[in-house]
Amino acid sequence: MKDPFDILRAELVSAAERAALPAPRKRWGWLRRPSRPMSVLLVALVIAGSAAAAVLSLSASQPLVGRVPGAITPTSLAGYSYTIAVFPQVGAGTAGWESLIVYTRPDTAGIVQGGGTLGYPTATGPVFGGGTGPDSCPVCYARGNAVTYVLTGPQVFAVRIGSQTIRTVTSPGLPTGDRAAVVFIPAKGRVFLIPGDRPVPVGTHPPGVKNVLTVPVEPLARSGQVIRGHFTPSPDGPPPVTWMAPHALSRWWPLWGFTVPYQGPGYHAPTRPRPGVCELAQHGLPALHAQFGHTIAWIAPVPDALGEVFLSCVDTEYWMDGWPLQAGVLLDGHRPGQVLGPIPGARAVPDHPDMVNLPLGRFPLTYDTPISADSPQFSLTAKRVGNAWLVVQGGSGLAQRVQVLNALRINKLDLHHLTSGRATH
Amino acid sequence: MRGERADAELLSSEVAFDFGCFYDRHVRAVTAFVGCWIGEPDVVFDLVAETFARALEHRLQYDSAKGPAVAWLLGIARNLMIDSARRGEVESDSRERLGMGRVELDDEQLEVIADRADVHLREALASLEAVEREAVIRRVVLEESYRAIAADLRCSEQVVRKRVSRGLARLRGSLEGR
Repeated sequence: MKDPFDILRAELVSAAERAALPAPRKRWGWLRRPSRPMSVLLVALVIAGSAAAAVLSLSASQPLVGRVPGAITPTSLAGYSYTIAVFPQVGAGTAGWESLIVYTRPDTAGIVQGGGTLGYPTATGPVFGGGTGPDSCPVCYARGNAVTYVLTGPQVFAVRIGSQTIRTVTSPGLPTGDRAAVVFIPAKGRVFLIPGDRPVPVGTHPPGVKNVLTVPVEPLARSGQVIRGHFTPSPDGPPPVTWMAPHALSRWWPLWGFTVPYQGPGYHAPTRPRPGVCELAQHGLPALHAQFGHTIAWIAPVPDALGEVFLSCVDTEYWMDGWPLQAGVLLDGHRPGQVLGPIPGARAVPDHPDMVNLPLGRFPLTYDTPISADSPQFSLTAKRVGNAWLVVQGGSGLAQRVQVLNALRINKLDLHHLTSGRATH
Repeated sequence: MRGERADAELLSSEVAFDFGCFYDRHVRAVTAFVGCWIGEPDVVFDLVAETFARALEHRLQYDSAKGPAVAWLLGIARNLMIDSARRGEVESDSRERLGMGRVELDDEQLEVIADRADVHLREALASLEAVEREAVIRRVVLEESYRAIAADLRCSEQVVRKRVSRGLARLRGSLEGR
């Protein structure tokens, strides 16, 4: 028996070693989800210049895909095409959604991105995320037009941001039942979206941003009344059990949503997949290597979620030909085992009628970093397996994801270990 | 202090092993402190782990002028326990940011934790001199400022600091002697 305090000591010393290293993962910090399903995220909008906000009035939402007004200028988002994408969380034990806003500059390979870690909407938490991006270019807001968006539950007819009221819209790119409000931010740094896991003090200045004040996003019902919510910590989900393959290496270029593996001195994590309610297996693809992943001992449905929500019961990161791919099994979040809805925005894969693909593209690590063949790939491809989605995200491209999906199978799906649903979102 | 390196030196060191020494020095005190309040050994371990992870993250913020490091650690543990009680779960933010894996505990290991946590801190406190005991409790548990304690006891802040420091050192020695 290994003394647990010795294990903890080794973990801490390893962490101290890593802390002394430059940490590229910091770049991805804004995208990483908590290992527990901390899905409640209160969103606050920061508006620079209260006078500017005062002239805003009722307006229609912009589409989820469009172009930022204005001409392209350096360190600005004006003139970029943008796409707001919502996609399921794949980490085991999590239920909910993540999102990205992708800015694409015409005639160049440059793309910038931003977004918010999401969860799912509930009766008391109708705003479940949003973003402006890119986090790596805060001055971009100040120097040109940009886009911000808020994602809400089905009960939200409009959102009020300062003195501006924007009607929400539905879209095939959103989870079934959910809505969004998208608004252009005028130049000179008007709006800055901060997702966080706790309320942002209203009327304060966020660190490092001058002349910017926080204002809340107020969700409005059809009657025009504010839907009162309250911030509550997300409920416990099943604690994920991490495992790591013996040959796994340190990787400082993870897809978001992963626990970054590290085998430093004194590493004592498990070396093979642990038993769980869901398990993945592979066959016929020797180049596919499992690196690490998470299983869960029971499934915790989320009956309080409004709108469609998926729940992941296992995740595994594979590597193939130098590319990381994250695989997971998604179940219906309300009633695991029931028929699942579609993956928002995903389209059928030609010649593979059982698969769908959601292209999210490659991403640079920072603003204005050129996209290269090595840039991370966020697109995901999924296959229906019974009443579950088998999802593969990342990799070198669609062809590789299809190849991996064909090599994976759900080895185990045990729906007998369900907790009673908790409505504490 | 047995001629050992100061806590501040260990915390400001760039050598990872030094944090291990810091951990060795205080883990029993932190475990006993948490164990006074929390019954479940797995939760105790989680809290201890997150306490040290936070300390590692914020090690450069430790200011020895504000008190001994163990008081700083116990303050972190105390705040964590309060936050955890409010949230209904032990926070793991620091461990996640540091990329620390979750330690899987078997029954034997849980017994070890339960044993370490089952320290009669009150007995250890009772073994202190009255003035030291009062200073430790008021500073560490009640989080009163040195100035307030000094004013109340009609002595200098320096005297209070010495009492707290000495009391904590004795407590640590008492816990290590188990």
